[in-house]
Amino acid sequence: MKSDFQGFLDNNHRIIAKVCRIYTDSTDDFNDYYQECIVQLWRSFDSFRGASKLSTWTYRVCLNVCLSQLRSKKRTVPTENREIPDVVDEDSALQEEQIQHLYKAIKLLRESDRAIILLYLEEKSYKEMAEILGITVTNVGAKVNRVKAQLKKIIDERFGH
Amino acid sequence: MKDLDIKDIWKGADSMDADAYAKPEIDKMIQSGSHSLIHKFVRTLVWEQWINLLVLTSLVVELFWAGEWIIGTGSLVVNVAFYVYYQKLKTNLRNEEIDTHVLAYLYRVQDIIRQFIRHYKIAAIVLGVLAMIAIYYLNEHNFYEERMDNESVMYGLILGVMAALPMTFYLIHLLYGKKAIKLKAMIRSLEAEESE
Repeated sequence: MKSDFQGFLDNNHRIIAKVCRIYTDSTDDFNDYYQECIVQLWRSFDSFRGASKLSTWTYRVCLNVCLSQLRSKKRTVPTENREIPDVVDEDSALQEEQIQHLYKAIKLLRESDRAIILLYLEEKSYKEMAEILGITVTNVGAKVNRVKAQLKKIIDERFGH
Repeated sequence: MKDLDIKDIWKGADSMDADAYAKPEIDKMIQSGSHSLIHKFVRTLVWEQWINLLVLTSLVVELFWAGEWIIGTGSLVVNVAFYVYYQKLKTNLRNEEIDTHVLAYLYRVQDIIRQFIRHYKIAAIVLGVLAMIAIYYLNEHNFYEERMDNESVMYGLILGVMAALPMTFYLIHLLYGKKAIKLKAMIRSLEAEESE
């Protein structure tokens, strides 16, 4: 393995996991997507020229991988009927439930909107979001507001928070 | 639920991914490689490249063994050209990186694949015609132990080559066309979502 790749993964594995988690419904799919992200990141790692932040680049690769993986796989059971896997070691059952609800709500959004809400929740600036998503900053602002409202509506309607 | 609440809950989700995979697991993932459609396309190319190399090299050896230098050299040139073309194609596909916009990446890959399928069809037709000429030429130069006096045998071979063309086109569809169709569907689906 490239010497510094493991170090890069140690610092950025959460990004990969979060992106994969919002696009998958089962542990098998999660593992497949995670592996695909790792392989693509590894392949492109040497050619990363530092034009953007490493985390920006990681988000971009992982989101692109997951979006293309989603399209190449056949649709299965709708997300809302499936349980979120692998939520582990939460101190609070309530917090665990809230996280599960949040993930479920995010998965009810359109695929491209999930990327927007993920980046919003990760507190990325509009500029960085625009860079990751390949859209204009103005467009990001409009989309964030729309997707946030949609997410709130889903949470209120389905989970009554 | 307020903005802050959602963000607070999201921060709690960090604990779900507390530990990175260990190095041996990552090594295993990298070694087992990609399972993407593009990778499957490249894998099919590799198989076909080696089969071509094996078959065409056997043909070249047989032709040289029989002293058919012109046709043998022609086959050797085709063999080398195929090998170089496939190598270049594989490199081009592998060099395409998904770190730009996903649609831009898929468009680039689609262009490469479309061009390859177009070249494949042209090559099948051109080589089919050349094979027919070669059959005629070899018959004229007594490549077969005895000249095929009955011309119907020779024309039968030529007809065989002609019949092989639609089969080759079907093979192209099975090996690559299906994947190209799937890629097109992926692109359309992404375009549709972007335009909404």
